[in-house]
Amino acid sequence: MHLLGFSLALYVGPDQILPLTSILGAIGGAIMIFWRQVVGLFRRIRSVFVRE
Amino acid sequence: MSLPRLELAPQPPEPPRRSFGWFILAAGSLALAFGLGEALVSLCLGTRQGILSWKTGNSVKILFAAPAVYLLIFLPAAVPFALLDRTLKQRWSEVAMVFGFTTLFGISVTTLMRPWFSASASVILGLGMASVVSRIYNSDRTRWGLALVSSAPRLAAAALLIGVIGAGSASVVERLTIARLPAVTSSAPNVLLIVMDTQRADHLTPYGYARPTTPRLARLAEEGVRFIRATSPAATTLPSHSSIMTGQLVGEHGAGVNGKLFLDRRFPTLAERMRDSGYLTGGFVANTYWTGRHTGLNRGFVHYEDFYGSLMDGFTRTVMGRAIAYQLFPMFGRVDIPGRKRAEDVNRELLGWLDSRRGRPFFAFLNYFDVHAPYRPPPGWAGRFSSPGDSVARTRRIEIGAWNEGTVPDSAVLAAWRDRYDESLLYLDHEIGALLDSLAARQLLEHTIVIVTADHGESFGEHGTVHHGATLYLEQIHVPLILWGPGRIPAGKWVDRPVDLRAIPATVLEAVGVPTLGFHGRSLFASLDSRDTTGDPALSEGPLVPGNPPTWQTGKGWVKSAVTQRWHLVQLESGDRELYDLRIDPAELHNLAAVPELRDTLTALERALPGTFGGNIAAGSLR
Repeated sequence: MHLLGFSLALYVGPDQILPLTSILGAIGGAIMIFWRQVVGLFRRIRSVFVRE
Repeated sequence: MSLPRLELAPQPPEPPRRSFGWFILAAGSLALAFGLGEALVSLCLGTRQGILSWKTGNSVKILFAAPAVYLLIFLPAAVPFALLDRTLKQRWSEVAMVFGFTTLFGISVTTLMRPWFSASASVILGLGMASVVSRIYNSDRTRWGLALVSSAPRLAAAALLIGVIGAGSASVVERLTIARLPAVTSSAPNVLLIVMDTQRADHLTPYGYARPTTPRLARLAEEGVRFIRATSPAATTLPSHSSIMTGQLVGEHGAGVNGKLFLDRRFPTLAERMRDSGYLTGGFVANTYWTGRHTGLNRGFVHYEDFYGSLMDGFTRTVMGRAIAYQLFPMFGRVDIPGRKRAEDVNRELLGWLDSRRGRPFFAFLNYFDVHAPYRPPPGWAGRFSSPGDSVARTRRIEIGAWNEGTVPDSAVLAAWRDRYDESLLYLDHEIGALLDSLAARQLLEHTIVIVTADHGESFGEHGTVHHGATLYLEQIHVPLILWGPGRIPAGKWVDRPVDLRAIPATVLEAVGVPTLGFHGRSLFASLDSRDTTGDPALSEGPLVPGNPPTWQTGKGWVKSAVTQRWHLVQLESGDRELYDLRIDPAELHNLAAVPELRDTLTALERALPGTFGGNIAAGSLR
C-alpha cells in the first residue's frame, strides 16, 4: 500500500502536465506576438548594464 | 537638443497589386502546406497511445483528407481578401490573409496536442505562430508572394505523392502480414463477432420485447443459443470492448479509467491470438470515438476499418472540419453525428474486404453504432414506431450521449427517444439480416460461428438516469448474447445462468480449437452444459468518471456489480450496498441490503466481487 502511494506521488499524468505546459505555451505564444517589444525591452535592460 | 537617432531598416519596394488569381493560388499553397502539416502532426501524435483524444483519432488517410479540407476552407476564404485588396488603398489584405490562415493552422495543430495545451493556450500559440510568419512575409512581400504562388504546383504534386504512398503503404503492410501468417486447417470455422453498441437486451424480440424490433435476430436466436442473463463488464464502450477482447476485468486492463483512454499492451487480445493461429483478422467499427485505432482495440487485426467511412467523416478528421461540423451544423438543425457510419457502411466494408482476401478462415469483429444517441434512424425507418413531430428534435446540439448534466427529460421526450431507439434497432436488425444473406450467397455463412452481443445497455429514465455510463443497474449492463453456428452450436437453447462478456475470447478460441491460455478461464460452452453448477456471478465495474453528475453512481466513485440467477449486488466505493431480488423486482426498485435474513447472501456476493476498487489501474497508468 505504501509502495502504491509512493508510486502515485511520482505519477505525472496529463492532468498534472496540462497547466504547466499551457502556461509555458501561452508565454511562448505571447513572446512570438510581441517579439519586437520583447527584443526592445531586452536591449534597454542591456543598455543599462553595458555601456558602449 | 539633439533629436533621437532613428534606425530605419531599408524597406523593400512595394510589390505590384495582386490579381484575383494570385490570392487563389496563394491560398491554395497555404492550404496544401498547412494541410500536410496537420496531417503529419496528427500521424506523429498517433504513434504514441493516449495523446489523441476520443474525437481526434485518425489514420494514414489524413494525408489526403487534411489538404483537401484546407483547400475547401481556404479557397473561398481567399475571395474576401482579394476583394478587399482591390477596394482598399492600403495594401494589408495579403498579409492579413497569411496571418489569418496561419492562425487557423496554429490553433489546429496545438489543439491536437490537447494533453499539453488548453484551448486558450492553443489560441495564443496560434496567434504567435501567425505573428512570426506574417512578420517574415511582410519583410519582403515581393519575394514571398512569388514563392507562395510558384510553389503551388509543387505542393500539389507533393501532397498527391505523399497521400498515395501513405494510403498504399497500409495495403502493402496488410499483404505482407497475411503472407507471414501460419497455416490453418481448411475446416477451421470463420468467426463473426457482432457488437451492437448501446443495445440493451430487453428491447430485442428474442428477449421478450413486445415490439417486433428484431425479427431476424429472433430467428438467429431460435437457431442458436441465447443467454438471457448476459451482462457487460462495464457500462461504457471502451472498457467493455477491452474486456471483450482481453477477457479481463476493467480493473485489470484499465482502459477508459483515470483518463487512460486506450487499451495498453499488457494483455493479449483475442484478435492477436486468432491472427497468430492463421486467421484473417478484420475489424470494422462504426463507433470511431471509442473503438477507433487510437484506443488500441485494433491490436491483432490485419485490417481495421474505422475512420473515413464517408466524405463527412473525412471532413471531421481535421480540427477545422470538426469545429465546423460540431459547432456550426447544429445551428442549422443538423444534430446527428456528422459522418455517422451506418450498418450498411460497416457491412459494405466487411464484404469488400472478404471479397479481396479469400483462402483463409476469417475472424471479423463488427461494431454497429446505429442505436446510439442521438437517436436518429435512417430515412425510411423513422416513423415505424414514432409519430412525426415528436419531442426528440428539440435540441440544438449534438448529444452523443455518454455525458450530460444529469437531468432526465420529461416523459414525452423519453417516449420519443425510446421510439427512435427502437426504429434504429429495426434498421440494424434488417442490416444484420442483409449481411448474413450476403455471407450465405458467398457460401461463407455455413462455415461461420456468429456471436451477437452489445457493449452496454442504455437508460431511458430508469433510476433517474439517461444514456449510459451512469450506473450498473441492469438497464445499463444487461445485454443480448446469441451464439449461432450450424453443426457447432446447439439450436434453440436458452441459458439462464449469468455470464459476462469476458467469456467471449475463451469461447471463440475453444470453438476454433486454439488454446485459451492467457484469457478468462470459462468459455460459454461450459455454461451450455446442464451439469454446470458453478454458479459464478457475472461481474461488472463502473470506473469513477470525475465529470459525471454527482447523482450518478459513477460520479461518486467506483462501482462494482455481481449478478446471479436471482440476485444483483451493486456496491459503491463509499461502502453503500444495494441488493435486489431479480425474481420479484426485475426493475431493481427495492433495496434489500439491510434485510438481516439476507446477510449471508450479501456476504457471498461481496466475496465474488473484484478485490479492490480500481484494481491495478494506478500501476497500469505508470508507464
